[in-house]
Amino acid sequence: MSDRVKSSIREFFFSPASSVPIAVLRILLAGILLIQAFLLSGQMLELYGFNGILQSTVFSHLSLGGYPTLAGLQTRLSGWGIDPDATVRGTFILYVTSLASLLVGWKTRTSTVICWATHFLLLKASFLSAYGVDQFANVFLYFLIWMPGGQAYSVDAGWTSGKPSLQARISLRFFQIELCIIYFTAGLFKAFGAQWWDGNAIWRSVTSPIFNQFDLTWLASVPWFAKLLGWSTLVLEMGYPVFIWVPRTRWLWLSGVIGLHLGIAIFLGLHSFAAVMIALSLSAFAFSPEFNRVSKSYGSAEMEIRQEKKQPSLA
Amino acid sequence: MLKALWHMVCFSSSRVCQSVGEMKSDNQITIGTRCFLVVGLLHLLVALAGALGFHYREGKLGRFIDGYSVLSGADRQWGFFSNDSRTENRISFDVIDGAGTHSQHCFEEGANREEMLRINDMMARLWGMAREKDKEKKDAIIGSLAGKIFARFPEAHEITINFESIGLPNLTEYRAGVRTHWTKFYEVKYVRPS
Repeated sequence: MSDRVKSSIREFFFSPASSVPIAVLRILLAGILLIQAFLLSGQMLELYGFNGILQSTVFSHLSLGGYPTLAGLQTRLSGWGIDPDATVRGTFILYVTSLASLLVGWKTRTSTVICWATHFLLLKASFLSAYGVDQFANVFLYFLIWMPGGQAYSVDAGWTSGKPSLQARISLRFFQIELCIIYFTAGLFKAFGAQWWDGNAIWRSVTSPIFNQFDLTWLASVPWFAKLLGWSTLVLEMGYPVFIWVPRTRWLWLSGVIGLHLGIAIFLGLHSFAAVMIALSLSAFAFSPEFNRVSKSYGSAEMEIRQEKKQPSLA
Repeated sequence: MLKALWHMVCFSSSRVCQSVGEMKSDNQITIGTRCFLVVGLLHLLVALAGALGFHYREGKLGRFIDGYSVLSGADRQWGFFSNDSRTENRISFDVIDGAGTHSQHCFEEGANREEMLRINDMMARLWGMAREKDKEKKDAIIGSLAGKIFARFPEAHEITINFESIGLPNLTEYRAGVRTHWTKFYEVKYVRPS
């Protein structure tokens, strides 16, 4: 391997980075999931409970894969005289409390582990009703367990922007690469279907009684527009792993992806899904120190700190 | 003037180099960091395989990878809205009370948007399961729904659960006059035991 390649890999993975992007991910993800939990609290027992819409009698007929589940926990605790509904309420309260703790960055690592575990239990309890937002939450709460999420803008870090670290750099790279994998494969699978090329996927989504928020039937008279939207989605998603890294196209791609998700929120009513997706792209690529003007001021501030540190030794 | 500028550039670049050099020495790549990197790369590999639909479940290693993938979410595929043959379904129910009054309902009633999306997803998946040939499973699912409806409507004497699928016209069909319509696929009646 040439020295240039080695040095590029070293720079890519091993140059210390700020923990700010990871803190942004922590704050945004926890904030969105807290709002979502508040919205779901009214139907908590219906969605997750033993006697909810999906009752315990059905669980024995469903393959749950042998993983820890809320139903299993309810059964075990009911043996000790704890009401199954109380177990659901307790798990939900623990989940919400850990989210609040994650939001402010108090005992961040422990909060993240509890949050991920309780989220997983709730996800498995409601696997028939879970959708994209839950899957993304599961993936990135797991990521946050390993990331230095509490090293910036947290109670743990005293609300400072924190010091650059190697762990932050490596975590950030894995987070960015995972996001690229997600977007690329999402685009790739869409591209296999004819409906994304002829505009019918867009048409079906916006006219479906489940998703439609406005009357967009006028699209039928301008099919080229539906086709254009379909193609743009494919280009944005499949081009993400390339153009998000290129400085000249980064902001264009970021704006495009944010626009795509805003469209999903407005026209399909998938608000929390869109909010999580925007939060992921923003935290991965908009706050990364080397990517923007903030980075320059951050970089110079960092140098100043280092020079200040150096002063005593010079003296 | 140019000479002064050149000195400034030289000075600042040397400062940058010095700074980067220091940062590297402050953050030594320890064995722990290397392990973190290797584990992270393996995770990305599993996530990429999962996203592309490859799952390895053979033997102890396969089961370990599978378990890890489920817990970390690395087993997921992300092709939302990618399926051409995606159909949408709903489960509604008619309620007849003791006085013979009819009313039509669905589980999504009174739910906010977030709750509605979830209940709707659940209904669509239960609908799919209700189509299965496994009679025991089918009866358990439909019986559970019936029990829930009777609990929600204590005055109900008879209920009919309707399984419907949507007929969504494509762009060409819509221009030709075809409109969205629901087709009943299956219905089942339950009477409250006296």
